[in-house]
Amino acid sequence: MNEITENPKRAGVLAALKLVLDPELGISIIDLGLIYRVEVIGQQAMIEMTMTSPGCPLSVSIVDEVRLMVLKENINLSGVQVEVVWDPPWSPELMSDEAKKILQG
Amino acid sequence: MDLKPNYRLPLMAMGMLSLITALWGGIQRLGWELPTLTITLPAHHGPLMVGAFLGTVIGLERAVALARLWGYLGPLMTGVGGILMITGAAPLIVAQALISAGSFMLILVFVAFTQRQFHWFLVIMGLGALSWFVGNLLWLQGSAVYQIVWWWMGYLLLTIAGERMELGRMLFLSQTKQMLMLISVAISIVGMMLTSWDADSGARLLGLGMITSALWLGHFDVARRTVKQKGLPRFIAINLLAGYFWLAVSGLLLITYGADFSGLRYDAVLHAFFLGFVFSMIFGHAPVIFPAVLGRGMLYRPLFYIHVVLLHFVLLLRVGGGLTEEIWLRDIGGLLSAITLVIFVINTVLAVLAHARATK
Repeated sequence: MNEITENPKRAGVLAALKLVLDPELGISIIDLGLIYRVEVIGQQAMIEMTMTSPGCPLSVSIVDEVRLMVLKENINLSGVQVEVVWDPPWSPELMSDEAKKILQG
Repeated sequence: MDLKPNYRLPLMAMGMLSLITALWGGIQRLGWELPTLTITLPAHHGPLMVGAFLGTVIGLERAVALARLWGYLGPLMTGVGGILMITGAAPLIVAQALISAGSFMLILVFVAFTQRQFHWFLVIMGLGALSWFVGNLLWLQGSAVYQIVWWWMGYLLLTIAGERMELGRMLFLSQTKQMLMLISVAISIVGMMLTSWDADSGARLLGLGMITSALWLGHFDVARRTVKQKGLPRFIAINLLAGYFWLAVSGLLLITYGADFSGLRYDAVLHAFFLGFVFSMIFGHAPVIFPAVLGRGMLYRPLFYIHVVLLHFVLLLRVGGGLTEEIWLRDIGGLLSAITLVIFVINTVLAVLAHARATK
């Protein structure tokens, strides 16, 4: 069984996160490796994520977009909790192969 | 606890007011007739642009990144410093002290970032803030702007270089390639510091650091990849790459002429750097940063290319006119560059309003 059939709610959240892009790179935060944990308990989604830099001015606006997009794409959910953590630090190795391909030409 | 977006508006407004009045003074300084707002405004063009406008906007974006109330003290102080310079409501030294204090706060903000996670690119950006602070202190204790402007240039160069090095991690560049950029940054820092003892040698060394930084960025920056995309990522990348061109031009002029304070060459160097390089960064990132800072969305529109194309065209007139000693051409380029920045502000505001209408 794959994610979609085994845990459709979580899959729905991941699908929404795929639509949240880093505006400069045009790459999703999933492919950048910024999402550390996604859980859905009842109608609440809980997301643990990080940013590529602790000094990023877009931190709050990306978190806002995460909440909006997850709720917009998953009408069965009533709330989204997002926690930004700095440990473990993000590293480029966390990027998906797709992202690496785009950035390395 | 963070400052809510609505409360950040007055800070942004102070920064934008400093920009508009700085342009007013700048146009007057070129000899164009405009109603006089205050007698000292033309003389304050540089400090208003760097300390009150750029300092407030950059301070504000980093305060948003920090998401703590104390982080907003910096842009508050530089914003108020700008208002005092514009109005002359207090002796200049008060404005200078406020801007100096605001720049010190930016250093503290970067220290706070390194406590979240340590990265060398944050140290470089923090050294940028330190450069700005040192330049402000020298200005406060009586140095003329032309004597210390190199420190202000270093501030922006290091801030931007650090930012680009942060993104550069995604390219998995070799240690050697990363070292080349660090060396360019180091050369720039040494040059900038040297200007306080030997302005000419220091400026030339700073110019060398600028050229090598520009070559590195033009070749290795992530913009070389994202320029192949469409829409906003491509728009940002085009602005970045154009900015690196002007950084190289600034460097070349500095190497060639050193700390030449004869009006035209000095004007050419400063505006190649501050307009061509720094404002290219601002134009490119405005569709991303303004919404993040103000909590209001902004629709990216291809018509933004209008102010982008204008910027480079008018700068060619200005710098070309200055270097060929065709003062009339320099003056027209200068007037048009001010108009270009006003068009940029209008386009930005309209895009924010368009987004608000679209999402009602």
